[in-house]
Amino acid sequence: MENRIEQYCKATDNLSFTKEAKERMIENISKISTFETAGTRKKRFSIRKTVVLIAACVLVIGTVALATGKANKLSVSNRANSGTRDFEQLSRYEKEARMDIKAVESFSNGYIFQYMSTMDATSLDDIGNKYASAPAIKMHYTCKGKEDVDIIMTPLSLNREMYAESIADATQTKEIHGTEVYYSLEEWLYAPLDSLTDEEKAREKTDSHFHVKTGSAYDKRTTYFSAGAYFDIDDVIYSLATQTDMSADEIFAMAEEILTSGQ
Amino acid sequence: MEDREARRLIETYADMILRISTHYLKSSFDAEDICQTVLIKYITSKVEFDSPTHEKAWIARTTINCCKDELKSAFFRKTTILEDIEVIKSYAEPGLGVTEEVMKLPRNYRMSIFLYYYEGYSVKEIADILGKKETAVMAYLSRGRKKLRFALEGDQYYGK
Repeated sequence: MENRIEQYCKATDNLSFTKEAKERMIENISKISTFETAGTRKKRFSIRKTVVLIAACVLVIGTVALATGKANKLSVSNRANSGTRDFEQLSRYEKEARMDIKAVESFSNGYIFQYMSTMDATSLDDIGNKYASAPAIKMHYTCKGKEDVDIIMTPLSLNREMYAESIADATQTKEIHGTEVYYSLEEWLYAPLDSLTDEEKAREKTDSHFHVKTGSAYDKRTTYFSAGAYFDIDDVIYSLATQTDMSADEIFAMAEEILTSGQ
Repeated sequence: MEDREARRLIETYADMILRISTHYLKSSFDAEDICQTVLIKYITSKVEFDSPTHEKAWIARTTINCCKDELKSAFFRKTTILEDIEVIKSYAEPGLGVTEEVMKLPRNYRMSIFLYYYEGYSVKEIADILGKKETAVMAYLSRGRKKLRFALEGDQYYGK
């Protein structure tokens, strides 16, 4: 039998793409993925940035309450085989997600639409119990020299309570053309075990926009920021998230362009 | 994307994706499309990895998910085994017999055998990749080996 397994492995070794097929695929994926920045690829193996990104998305979508027994998180995941780089396909995605949304192809601060996809959004409680699910739409924007921006649209009915709690905790609020837009700036400190100062420990308890992660995986102290804005139009929550300390003014300006699109 | 990174992805993972999809679908007809779909998902996703092993396992899982989607697709009509099409180097002797027998096994059996014997994954890792319990994977391996032994050495059992 061992001999047979060895034969099987040798035969499987021979199952490979031709050199021409590989060159063709290299050419294809090089073209397709031009929107991704080198910086993104460099972060591939960074756990810390991942945490910041996830945290930013969760924050913007809304999670403040900690009580068990009610939905207080929203999990969003890409739907398989969903996605387009063609902005003109927006109506098809709206139909698929059963939402009527406002969107722009480019912002005046330089961010340009790159792709959109349908996502599955699920509200969860602290221990992962699912409460409700609904389709959502994600739109991804990039700008040379800046961190990417994601805009996620979810139905208000899915996370009405969470949204109310999130906006109550916003750092700044601005009314734009009759719509309240909420801005939050979050600070994330990653630090080695037992390295927090008393001041940091105290701040963590009192400042809901200051988050600390400690552990042996963090060999040095590093601070990251994430910024986001959220507002609702016609029972759809719009969540803008980015992994930088983008200013409230800049995010409010982006929100205004969305709010006035199609007028 | 830089050509160098595209080349790294293809050189590192294209053949693995081909082998997984061929084992899963019993066909290599759409292998090139599946390979590009998986790598585009890699490039466009925000998933980050703490090691190359983690990255490889993610690629393996994503390939299996793409194969599942492919099976659901109305366009999936190909069920021929080990097609020799122009983008793929064909299987070569020795070993075609045993490979054909592996391909005849039920999907979970042949995927477990491929991941265990060829890719060298542990039962636990295979369970993670396939989204099954470890006990189920152990059963797939045990039953798969038994079926293979019977298929390949059956003549001995019958005294031929």
